[in-house]
Amino acid sequence: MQAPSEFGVDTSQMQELVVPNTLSGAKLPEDRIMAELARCGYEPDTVFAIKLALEEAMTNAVKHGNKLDSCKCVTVRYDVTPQRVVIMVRDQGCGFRPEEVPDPTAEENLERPNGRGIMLMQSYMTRVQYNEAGNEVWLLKEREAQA
Amino acid sequence: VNPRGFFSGPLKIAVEAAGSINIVCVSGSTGLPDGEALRQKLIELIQPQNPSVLLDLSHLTFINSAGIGALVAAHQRARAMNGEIRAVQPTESVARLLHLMKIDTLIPTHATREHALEAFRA
Repeated sequence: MQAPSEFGVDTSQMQELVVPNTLSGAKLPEDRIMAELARCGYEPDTVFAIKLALEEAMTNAVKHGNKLDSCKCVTVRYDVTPQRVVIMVRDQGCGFRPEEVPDPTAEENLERPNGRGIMLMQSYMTRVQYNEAGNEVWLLKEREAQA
Repeated sequence: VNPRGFFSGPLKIAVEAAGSINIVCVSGSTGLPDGEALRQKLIELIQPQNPSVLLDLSHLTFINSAGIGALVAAHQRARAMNGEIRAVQPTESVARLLHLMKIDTLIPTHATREHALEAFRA
């Protein structure tokens, strides 16, 4: 596991959590990261964006990556500074190709029950990158300069 | 506002009636793992005799894709029963997300309850 170079983070310095493969288990990393955001005084819009992207990444890992298998787990790494947030979410599935996920805002897909998570992550984060296997997603959110 | 708590308040769903329309006030945060609870509540409410629902989103601080999926499921069920779903006063963050995902093309949003109820009658 190596952070993409554009993310500007030393992987060895990131906090790591390994959680059970359940949606409720996903709350632990979220609570930890939200606490870090509060400590750094992040603005509400940015907190909303990071919470959203993290929940989408965790949902994808639990449901689609690990296919709700209770024997599997999800690994989360994160690093929060006052300037930016980096989060990695990895599942134990065989991965997927994000470019093959259809556009959820196309008229024919608007009523699909799911398939919106990737677009939400991409829309709300500064950068989103998958590893080659497609079972590890990296999220970067840079803090916007305040007036 | 403490953003940490603001976006993590428990999901609350309250129902009131305005004639044949059920008004569903969704407040708090539809985060993990609340999307399914919202979906079940909406599906349960949408019945052939009262198939239309007005969603009051004025106190909903957070929604994710599971929450959006719940709204879409409600829209489909209502339409199948010749009803419709409308929304009123989504908070700014939620409104932006609904617009980004084009959900506001399925579920029209209104500035006030009165405007929404008029639209149901139109």
